[in-house]
Amino acid sequence: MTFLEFFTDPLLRGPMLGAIFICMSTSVISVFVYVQKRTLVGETLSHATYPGVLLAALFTLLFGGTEPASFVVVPCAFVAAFFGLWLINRITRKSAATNDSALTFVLASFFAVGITLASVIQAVAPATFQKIRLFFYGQTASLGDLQIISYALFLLSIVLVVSLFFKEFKLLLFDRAFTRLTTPYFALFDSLILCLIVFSVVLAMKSVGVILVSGMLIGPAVAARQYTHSLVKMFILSALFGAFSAFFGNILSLYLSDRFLISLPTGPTIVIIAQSIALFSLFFAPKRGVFFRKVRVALFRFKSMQENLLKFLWAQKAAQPFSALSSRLGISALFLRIILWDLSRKAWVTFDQGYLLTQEGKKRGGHIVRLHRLWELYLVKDFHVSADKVHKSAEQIEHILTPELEKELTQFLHNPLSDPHNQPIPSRAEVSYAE
Amino acid sequence: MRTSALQIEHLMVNYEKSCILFDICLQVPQGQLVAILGPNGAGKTTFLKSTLGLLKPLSGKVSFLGDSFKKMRSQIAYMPQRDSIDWDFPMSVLDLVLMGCYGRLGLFRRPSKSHRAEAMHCLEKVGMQNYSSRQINQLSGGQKQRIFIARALMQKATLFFMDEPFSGVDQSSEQIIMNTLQELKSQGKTIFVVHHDLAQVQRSFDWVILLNHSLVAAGAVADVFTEELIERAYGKKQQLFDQASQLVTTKTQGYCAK
Amino acid sequence: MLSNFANPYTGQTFFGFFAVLLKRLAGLVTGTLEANQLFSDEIQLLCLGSIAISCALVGIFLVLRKKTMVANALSHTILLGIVIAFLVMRIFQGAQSDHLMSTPILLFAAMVAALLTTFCSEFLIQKVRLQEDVSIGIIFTLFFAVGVVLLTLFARSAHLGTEIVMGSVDALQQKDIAPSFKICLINLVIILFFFKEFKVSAFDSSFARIIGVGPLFFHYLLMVQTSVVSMISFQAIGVVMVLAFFVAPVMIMRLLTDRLLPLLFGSIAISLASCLFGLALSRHILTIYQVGLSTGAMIVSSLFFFYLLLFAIKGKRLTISDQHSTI
Repeated sequence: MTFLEFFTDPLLRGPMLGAIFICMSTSVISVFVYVQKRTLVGETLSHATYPGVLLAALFTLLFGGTEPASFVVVPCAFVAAFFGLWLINRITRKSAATNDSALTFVLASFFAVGITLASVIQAVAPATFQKIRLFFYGQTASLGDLQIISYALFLLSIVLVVSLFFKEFKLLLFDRAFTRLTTPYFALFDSLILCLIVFSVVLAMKSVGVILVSGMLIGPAVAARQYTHSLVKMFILSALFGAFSAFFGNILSLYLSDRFLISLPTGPTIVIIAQSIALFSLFFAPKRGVFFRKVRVALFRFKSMQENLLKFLWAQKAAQPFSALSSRLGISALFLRIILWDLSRKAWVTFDQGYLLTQEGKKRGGHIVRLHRLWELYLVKDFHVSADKVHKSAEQIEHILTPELEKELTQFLHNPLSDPHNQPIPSRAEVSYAE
Repeated sequence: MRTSALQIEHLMVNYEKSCILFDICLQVPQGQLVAILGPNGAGKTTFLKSTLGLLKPLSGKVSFLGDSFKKMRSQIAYMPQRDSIDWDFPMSVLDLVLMGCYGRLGLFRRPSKSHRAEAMHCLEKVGMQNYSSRQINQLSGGQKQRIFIARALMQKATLFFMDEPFSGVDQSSEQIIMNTLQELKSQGKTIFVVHHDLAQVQRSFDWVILLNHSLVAAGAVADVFTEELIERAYGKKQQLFDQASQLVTTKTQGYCAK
Repeated sequence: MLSNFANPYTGQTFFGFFAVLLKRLAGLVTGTLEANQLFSDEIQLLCLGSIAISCALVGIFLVLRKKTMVANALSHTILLGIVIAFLVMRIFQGAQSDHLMSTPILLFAAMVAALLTTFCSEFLIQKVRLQEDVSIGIIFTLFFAVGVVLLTLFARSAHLGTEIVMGSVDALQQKDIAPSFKICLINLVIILFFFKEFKVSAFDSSFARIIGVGPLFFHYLLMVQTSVVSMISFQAIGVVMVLAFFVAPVMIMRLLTDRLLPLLFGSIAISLASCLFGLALSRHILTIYQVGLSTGAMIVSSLFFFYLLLFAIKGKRLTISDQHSTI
């Protein structure tokens, strides 16, 4: 099976392209859900559509059909979802119930009504009932050319709407109260967002399944957020992640069924991939990822310890043996060795019957001392902290002061010569080094 | 010298991405009515919460009447800001005051009739005895504050920590609350109040803690209420400090500077 | 199960159901019971009743702590626990067992699922600094998807899917009464003993911390209880409708009262009443229309419509300040 066949083969392209388009759509909408912190609404709506689906099935049976067609199911699901939304709104406004209990209540009750109808159908027309079950877990295999077109149209219209009204959406997303107060279009766009959410839930039912739609409304946005804070980029990245999940979900399930005769349900697989991407991004995104943050913290600690060592050596007259350094800094021998190795590599420290600073090293050590003493002076002068209490704070701040802040401090303190303990502050000239 | 009511050593607190409290050291003697002042966002609530262990400080040591929080917890009463409470909770005024004895009761015992009588007595002290069976949301702001004080009274605490008890409170409630606090003080209790009304603090309080991310000053009202110190607390000269604190948090949490 | 006597509930309509029930109860009390055995309707009543009580007990604190959506999440991740337990059992026991409820393994799986879910989402919230909703959302959709995949791959023939989601009250047997009773009793004991502590940690967690009640402990305890109760209930009423059992009675009572104890007892009473109602209705429809509907769903639907009715009458703006946000 060639790569292209996934997109051209009449049997395969429905699931593939259909899934990709619908996942891209829900992913774009997931950004709205994420920014507005409406995560659980998606979950509720996907369950709330259930009675709609069943009512559609009942109508179909009443009119003599056996298989509920999409053009009946979708509007019914839509109506059910909107009724659910309206009810949640009323309940939270008019009773002491909180948002979350209203959501859960509507979710479970609507679902129960749906199940009641389902058991009616199961008893009366078992074949139809089986077809409805597909709406639970989704059946990408049932996606055909019609779905490709309709999902593509949906995606297109979302993209159009979002790009056309990007300014308005952006304002609404980031300052709801302001938008409500100062613009005439608040209600329109707010409802539009809700409509989009409901539409995506209803349309995605068939491919990913009712219960899993909420996953697609969460994961891609979370993943995208880890790489950027720009709204545009979030939309784009989200869509890409959605497409990627759909694509690989299909490929994986097809491959496994082809080679190993394992039939993996595509819908859940797509969701697993999407959430895994989200989790991966949370940990490994370059700027915000937990892993890289921890690495940065470790590097910062390393640098701080190095600077402490430079400070110490700067204050010493004679070369220091290893033992003196290790006892002064209170770190393990291994850690110290690594620090010293790095410092010698940078040619800031040399060894001559003990460790001492090179010329360059002296400058850098002196610089840290300068920052330390400047800060102490600042605290004493401006904050009137007593001189014996400023040391600990300076120990921390000396490692983070930027050149700009240093300049401000110097200006503010009028180029001071000595610190609160009457020790000389190394002048800027003494300790300046080429960056 | 008597043990201080509150002794704080080098308290440092981060919260989210900014350094809120920076190296706070202070000692407050017993039997004082203490106001905690500072501009908005200066960290007053954070100060209260980290002192009581509700927020985990970066470092620092706090002792209450010479002992750790764990040992002294039965002596401590805390009233959070009114917005942070769920007022729709199905609870009556008396129920809320009764909560004050839960700490004393321990795990398996129930409040007895005598506890209920005690709770009514505490309500009487704040003038709310007629509201005992109302649901807690059916009260005005001032009345809500008063029942919280009744709960604190029920706790039989010696140290009281209150977060903005006077904000949004009507005149008569304010008077009642102030009288109750004065009475507590006369019994030798120490009360810490986060406040915003400088005039009232100057009139009725004994001690002041001036905060603006760091400790501007802490001491008797007469000593601290100088123009210079107030200016320093409420003035805007702390930009450099704020920037530096911000950087510290960024670096220690591993975020990029940009 | 051999029945020496025919089921007196067969062929009864709605009110006939209650007539038979009362007659049986009277017989029990006076010692003149004809048939000395439990019939299926009664078994269902006993099981559902104890489940309803457990759910009301746990549900009230879920609602007050605003953790109902967490319960929703737990009910989904339980699927994963069930499927894994099922697979483990199949490895060890070989034959497929349709009837899962009374196995300790399942309860253990439920607790593990609860703890794992809570732990993972707390991790994301505290260490990764993700919002609560989002972290719960990611965890449970992921776990659920994995559960569905495993289900489809390995247990397709076991009808686990439908049963778990829809529940099957009719499949309840006499041996299911004991476990649900026990769970109900355990919940009663826990809630009774720790009532003050649950109350305090739900209302004012800082106060709770200060007086030494660890809110975190009670959070985890509630989660475990939620999970265990969901597990016990899933076979009878299905995973999603358990949520309604948790939430609906409490919401109905909340429209009627402002006090905690009436809320608790009222919720229990309402859920018991709805079980009776649902069972009678189910029997009625079976008799009149010869159609067996999902009893669990009917119980919940009746709760729903009752709520709507009550809400239409009683719903009003209760709070002075506009604290409620729209969704």
